[in-house]
Amino acid sequence: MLTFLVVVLVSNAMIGVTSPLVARGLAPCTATRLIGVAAFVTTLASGFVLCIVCFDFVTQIPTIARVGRWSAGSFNSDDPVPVACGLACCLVLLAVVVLVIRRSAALAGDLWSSAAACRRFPPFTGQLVVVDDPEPDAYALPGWRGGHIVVTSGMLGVLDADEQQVLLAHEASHLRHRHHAYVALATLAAAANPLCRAVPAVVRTSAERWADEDAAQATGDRRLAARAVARAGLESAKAKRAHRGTLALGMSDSQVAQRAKALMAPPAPTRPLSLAVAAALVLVTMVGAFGAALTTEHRFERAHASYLQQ
Amino acid sequence: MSAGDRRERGALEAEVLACLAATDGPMTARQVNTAIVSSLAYTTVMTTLGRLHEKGALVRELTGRAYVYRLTGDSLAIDAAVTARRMHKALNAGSDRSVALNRFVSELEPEDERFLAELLRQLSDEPPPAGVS
Repeated sequence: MLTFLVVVLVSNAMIGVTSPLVARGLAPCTATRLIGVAAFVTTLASGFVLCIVCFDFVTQIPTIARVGRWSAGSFNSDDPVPVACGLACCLVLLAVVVLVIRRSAALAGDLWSSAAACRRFPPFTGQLVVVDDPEPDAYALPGWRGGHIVVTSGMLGVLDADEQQVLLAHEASHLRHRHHAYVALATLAAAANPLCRAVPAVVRTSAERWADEDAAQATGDRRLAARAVARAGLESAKAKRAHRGTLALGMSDSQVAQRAKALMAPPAPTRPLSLAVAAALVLVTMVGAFGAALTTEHRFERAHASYLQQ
Repeated sequence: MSAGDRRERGALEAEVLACLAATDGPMTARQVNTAIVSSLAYTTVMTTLGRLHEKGALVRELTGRAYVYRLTGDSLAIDAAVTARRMHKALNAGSDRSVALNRFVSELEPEDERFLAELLRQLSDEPPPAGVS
């Protein structure tokens, strides 16, 4: 049983640790979907196997075994969960449940406040909401009915008409493909498993690249898309510096420059190796979880049979 | 098909609104058409402007023989603007790490800034776009 737990946990951790590398070999849309969903599903599988181990451990206790009409002796004769191990698993499970509940509540709060903001926009505003603010900024707010694109007048002011089109296509892509859902899945995986903590940033970056590629396709001009991303990045950095006197370091990631660079090159093809690695890890996890479920079921059948013989 | 049309229409309306929001004064349909470079028929722009006017997003007046359009200023749009600004403040105050938030650009390292400035300079050497700034 513990073997299954180790197999599932290791492949779950591998997904988390290799995600930045794997993402580099995938088209942005594939990377966002595959890594977001794979991290979530493998974390779910690890949680499932952890639950089974804890259940096995608890039912080994003679008093509880008697209530369930299982033979505790039969459990102890074949592959019992060691006491220290069982206790540790129960504690970890408890911690994971608390962390996941807390993170889910935070995620639900984020999405709810975004949807609430969308509902408050009057119906005639359409998808685009322009905020009168000199600081260049733009973002997509997901909502129940497709959500809204919020752009400041400062951002519209620094971009020419072509570049504005790139910006609108980019944000519309976020909303259309529900990028926030993949980020949410990745965030939950990271909350449950610290080894997946790199995943949300990877999924976020892939989603930005996906929206960039969509915008480049919508306008039919990669260099134009690169120009829009570069100009928006530069101008908002300039405005922030004028505003605060200095650039807050530490919060920054070199995403914008990477995105502009990627748009200057032709779209990179998906490397089969990256795809194979991700698929293999998901498969191994699933087999591990299935194996754990089968073994446990078998074990309880035997324990019940030997209880009846006693 | 109809869903695709609706999406197209939404995108077009957004573009027209962005164009009007980026310009200070009111614009005629002809001016909007020249400003939004996408090779659209003049009549499409006219229809879009008409639709936005019907929805109350734009006001228009007849000057000479053509209508000029501008964004509904403080009457109806104020609600949206206030909501958006409040949201904006909340988002700025909070972290960028909200799942609900997909910002167009995040902050820059100084060396990235130099790289982007150089990139823009290169790209500006190309023939300039036919739009307005």
